[in-house]
Amino acid sequence: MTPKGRFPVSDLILGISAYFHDSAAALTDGDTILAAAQEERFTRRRHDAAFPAEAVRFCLREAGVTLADVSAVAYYEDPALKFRRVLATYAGAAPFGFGSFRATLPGWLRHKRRADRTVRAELAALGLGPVPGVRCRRHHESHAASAFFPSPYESAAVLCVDGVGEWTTTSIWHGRGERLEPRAELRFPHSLGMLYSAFTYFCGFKVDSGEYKLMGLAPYGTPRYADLIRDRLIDLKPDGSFRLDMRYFEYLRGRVMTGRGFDKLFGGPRRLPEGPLTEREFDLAASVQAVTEEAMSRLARTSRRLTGETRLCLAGGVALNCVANGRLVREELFDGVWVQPAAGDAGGALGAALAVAMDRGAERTHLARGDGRDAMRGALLGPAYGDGEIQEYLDGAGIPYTRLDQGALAERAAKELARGKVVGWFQDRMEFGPRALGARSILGDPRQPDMQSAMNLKIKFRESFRPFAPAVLDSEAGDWFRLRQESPYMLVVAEVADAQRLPVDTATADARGLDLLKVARSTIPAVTHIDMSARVQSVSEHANPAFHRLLTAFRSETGCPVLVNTSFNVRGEPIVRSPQEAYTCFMRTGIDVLVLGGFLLAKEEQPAWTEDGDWRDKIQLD
Amino acid sequence: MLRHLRIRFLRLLFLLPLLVLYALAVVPAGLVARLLHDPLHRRPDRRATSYWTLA
Repeated sequence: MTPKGRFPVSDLILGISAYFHDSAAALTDGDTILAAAQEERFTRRRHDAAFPAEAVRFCLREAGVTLADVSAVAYYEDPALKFRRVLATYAGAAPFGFGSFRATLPGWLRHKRRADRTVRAELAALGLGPVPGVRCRRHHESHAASAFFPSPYESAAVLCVDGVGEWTTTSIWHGRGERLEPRAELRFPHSLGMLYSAFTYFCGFKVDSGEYKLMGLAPYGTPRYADLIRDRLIDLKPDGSFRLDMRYFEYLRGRVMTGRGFDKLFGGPRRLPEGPLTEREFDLAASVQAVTEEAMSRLARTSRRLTGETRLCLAGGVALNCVANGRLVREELFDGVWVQPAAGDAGGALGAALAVAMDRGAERTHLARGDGRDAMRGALLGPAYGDGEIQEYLDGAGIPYTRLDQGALAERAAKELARGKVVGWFQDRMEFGPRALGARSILGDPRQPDMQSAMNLKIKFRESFRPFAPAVLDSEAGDWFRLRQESPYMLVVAEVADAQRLPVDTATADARGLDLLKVARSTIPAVTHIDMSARVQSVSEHANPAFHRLLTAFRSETGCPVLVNTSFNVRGEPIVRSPQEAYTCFMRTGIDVLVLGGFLLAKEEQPAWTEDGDWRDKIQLD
Repeated sequence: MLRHLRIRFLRLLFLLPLLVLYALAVVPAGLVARLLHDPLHRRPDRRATSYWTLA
């Protein structure tokens, strides 16, 4: 790692994404990704869109520099071009859409239209030194750069699929060395991300955060609406290009995604948030998932055809659809598929910074190390807390703990997990991206039949249908999952291996809907979704030694190298960042044991937890 | 009551320029654009072989 505070002035690039959702900051010197973090983790506002002041402060602090040492700031999209698209959309929807126009135009005129100037002013207000020039990169270029430059590939096809950037919703690039060349694009309003979000909305989940839930719901249904979607909503060509029929969507006009056309097509109004889930929602989820997977498969084929490459890099919000990613891997169209762990807009901050760095002469051979590993450092790019800092907090708050060395800690935690306890695991630098990867995680024994329901209801306080994901030692992943390549960032779904499957119990063979949760399917039921799939994280020693050590200890204890790995938060709040936040979540929930760095805290030893009011009222549900 | 009326008046004052802008600029521009050509291509063209814009 490059020593802190010793960078040539010309090398440091600060990337920023802001003002729409998932604001973030990232810092690179062209050789290394030094730091990256999402603003929501600092402000505790989920998907925070505000200028990422705290994330910027963290990035600079981590590198031991000020803005005076930064040679350029890279903003992740072209605000003027985006504004023109917004105006064109309102014009195209007129005379409808005044409500949305009234609500959003002031913000555009005030600060979004010249976001580069706004970013400059915000940076100046931080008082961290003179502000360097702010360069804007296009939204999809930022995604493409985040997907290709940190990947382990010298050259690759790059596919970016999201809701929308300025105009582009889908783009194909050819990445070679330090260069990214655009090959093809599709434009707004025709967007796979918007299609998926429309169904997310219609099924009663929140847009831009509920898409994951829709994906998790899909295996409970049958895709009986898929043909209807293809016939009426989307014209999907064999080459993967597509156009939506906008008569069924409302997002051009207003602030809802669907209207009466959708209701009529699918037999009634949308499901209201928190309302009961019916077979219709299960089947809608299955249907849009099937269509999305088909679209991604065709897009990937065209990416290959247009570039001639045998490796694929993915980014954009739709690249977080790990079930679709799993299908791409299974189809073996490419020798390797690499997905940027922060594939959404937060990763745009990183991509913009890398794009500027490459333009300024950074050499990709330094970033892509040539040893087959990517440059994301396990996505552990956020703040870390040393044992000294943690102990100061614990002692100051009068919190009882046991201090152990790392080896003993892993053994003790593994024993607790094997006893069926749920462990909050707080180690190392915080993850960048939406997934917890063993730095800010809640862990459980996947062999326990009731672990999934217990964790959903008593710890995460979230919907019972939602599956949990496994983390597995990379060396043994093939014994437990049908995984054709590594999956370090939990962005590829694979089926549970045959050796771990259980015969179907005839008594439950006819189960449907949520009753499928009760069917025993494998030796690791807590991480086996009802269709035998799992969103796998393969853990390597070099990327995350502490988590690897714990998995190894658990394997020694139980013979099983797999753990339930879910994010360290409750529904509606961002993943925890600091020891204080971890302790608060620990005490508010049914987590049994908390591991904070080198310290182990047992729930039964803790003082009574009190706070004003019901904490659940303070967190907005997602 | 007076405060309530004042708030409503201020809101109207703020809303009016936006309404004028919308009615006199956005709506006509949109209608004219759609008469000539739909820039958003709001309906699929099932006869087309591809929708890609190549670089």
